[in-house]
Amino acid sequence: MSGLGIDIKLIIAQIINFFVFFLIFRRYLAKPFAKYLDEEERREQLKEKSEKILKEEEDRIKKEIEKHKKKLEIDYQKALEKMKTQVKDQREKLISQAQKEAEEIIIKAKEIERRERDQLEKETVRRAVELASMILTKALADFLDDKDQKNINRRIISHLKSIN
Amino acid sequence: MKKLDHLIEKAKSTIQEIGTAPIIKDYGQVLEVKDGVAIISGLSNVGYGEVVEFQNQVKGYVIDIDEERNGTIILGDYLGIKGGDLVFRLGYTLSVPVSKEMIGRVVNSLGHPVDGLENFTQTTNYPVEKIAPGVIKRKSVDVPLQTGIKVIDALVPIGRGQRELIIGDRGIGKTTLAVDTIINQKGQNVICIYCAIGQRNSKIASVIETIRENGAMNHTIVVSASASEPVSLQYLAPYTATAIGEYFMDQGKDVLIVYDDLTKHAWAYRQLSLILRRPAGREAYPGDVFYLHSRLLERACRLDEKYGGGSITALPIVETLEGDISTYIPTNVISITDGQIFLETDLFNSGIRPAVNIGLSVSRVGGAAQTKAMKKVAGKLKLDLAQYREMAAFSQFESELDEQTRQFLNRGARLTQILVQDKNQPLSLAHQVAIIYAAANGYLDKIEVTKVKESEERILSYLNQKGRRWLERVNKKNVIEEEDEVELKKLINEAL
Amino acid sequence: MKKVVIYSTYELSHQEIDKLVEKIPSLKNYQIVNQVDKSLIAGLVIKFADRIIDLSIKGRLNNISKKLYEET
Repeated sequence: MSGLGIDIKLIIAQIINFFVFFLIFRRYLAKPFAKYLDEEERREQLKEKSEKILKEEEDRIKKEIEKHKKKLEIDYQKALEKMKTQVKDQREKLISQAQKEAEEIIIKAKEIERRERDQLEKETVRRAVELASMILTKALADFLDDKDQKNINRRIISHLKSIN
Repeated sequence: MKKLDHLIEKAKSTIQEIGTAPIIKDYGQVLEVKDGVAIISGLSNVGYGEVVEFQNQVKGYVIDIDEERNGTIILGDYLGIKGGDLVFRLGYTLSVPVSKEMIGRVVNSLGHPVDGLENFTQTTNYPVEKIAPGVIKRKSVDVPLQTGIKVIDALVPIGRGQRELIIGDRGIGKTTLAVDTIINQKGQNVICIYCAIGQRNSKIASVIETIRENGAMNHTIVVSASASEPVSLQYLAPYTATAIGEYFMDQGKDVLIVYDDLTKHAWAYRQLSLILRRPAGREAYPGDVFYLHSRLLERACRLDEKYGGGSITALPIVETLEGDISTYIPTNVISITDGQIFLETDLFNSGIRPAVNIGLSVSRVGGAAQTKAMKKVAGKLKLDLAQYREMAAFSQFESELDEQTRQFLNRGARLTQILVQDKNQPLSLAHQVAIIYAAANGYLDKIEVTKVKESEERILSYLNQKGRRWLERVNKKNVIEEEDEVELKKLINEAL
Repeated sequence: MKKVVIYSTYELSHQEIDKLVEKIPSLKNYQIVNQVDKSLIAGLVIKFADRIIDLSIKGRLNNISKKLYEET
């Protein structure tokens, strides 16, 4: 054995060294390392789980948004309808107001027309009187000769009631 | 066509009715024509105040009768009258056609419409000159005429049947005061007549516009004789307005007549008198310028129930120069009327509008023409203001005065502020009573003088919202009873 | 003596004037002047210093037209 160079003490020391190292390794490196691997696995699991939750949330939110969109759509349609009817009412009101004003204008115009017509009729009668008197004057002046005039004077004087 | 037929029928019947009697007409000949006055010879049978007609259909009014000649004022355009023209006597004294249809219209001194609308159909004739009702026919004034202006209704109250002069310099708010009174007669069953004598056409137009905008035209008649009209029409305008007023008074109604203004009326009369060569007196006015206005204003009165119970309230306006109320026309009219409202330039310029000088303004009817509600609050107001005026001279020494004097000055300044009122904003009786009550009983004493107007508006708008029933009650009953006072205090406190 | 002018459409004879004075006695106090005015158509107009008595057709026509004018 001694020819081989194998030292029993050395080997034993080496073996003890190895065991000590093994123990130390096991205690201070392997365990934490295993713990670390466990941690990693756990983290992986957590990650998977949270991803799953996130996805669920996402789906839920998507559903919610869809619902909202639909509601908005409905509201918008309703508002549109209301506005349409309001515009219609407004228009009708304006139209009836315009009609009323038009009626008033017509009444006023009729009033003015009536007044002008009265005026015109009065003027007509007056002109007629003027014309009549002119005709009479001309006719009598041409028609009455001296004898007629003497007769007229005689009659006037005799019909005259005494004046002072 | 129906109208035409009707006219023709009327013409035919008129022709039938004309008899065969000889036509006898008294006539005269124009000797001189001077600026609205014609001197006529002949017409020896004409009476004073009769109407004559010139050859060009213009009418004249005889106001001067002499042995050989007569003086007539030409009621129209005198430019077409020539010397030697014949003038015929019409046989009746000057009268104007009056009618209920005149309400809401503008007429001239002869009663003819000048607003471009139709003529009046049912008219009666009322004489322009008339002797005022005698003592027996009258009743004393005891019904208030609400002007809607706080200063007047509280301190210088006007009653129906009273004559109250509005006197002041130009541009101070005399016409505004009168127009506000007219506007406030809405719903008061008073017919208003605004008589414009010698005013600018633009001013008359704007007054009519103001009255119309405020919805007061449906109880108002405007008699217009502007400065561009013949002087004879300016002379007649107030008498025409009074004749129209008498028509309504005889029906038992209450009438308000505003004469704007009598100074220009006196000028018109002076012009006519000088042309007629009547002797000129003080300030070149003729000797009967007092009678000119006294016979006009005496026709404003209140009639006894037996004669209808109607009344005419007259608000003549006189313009002074430099605040001098001791000249001829102002002193005349002051002695004729039952009180005056004196407007001062200084007050106007310092922002107190209406610029009523409370010390010099007086109403000789006074408390008899106030509602009980107003009398209650106005008494204290008057006292406080009188004390304020006495102490006003000391207001500069504020720091050296004793507490009581300072109190008076304090109160007085705020009272003066609440009496300020915007134009064309008349207030009802209840509103006025509420504000004056608030101010006179110290509710505004703690408010800064410049903010008093704001507080007043706040109180008024609060009353309009929450105190409507109170307002209606007081406006109807015209008295403030215990419970009303308590409620008012509460409302004022809430408003402030 | 004051004058009175009688307008007529032709010159009046003395008898006619006398007949007139019969009916209107106050004419005696005046000096009567007769003037021809064809525009009267027929009849007379007696003009004193301050009064006119119109007995002519022209006057009657004017009167009627004026009355009718005022009626409308």
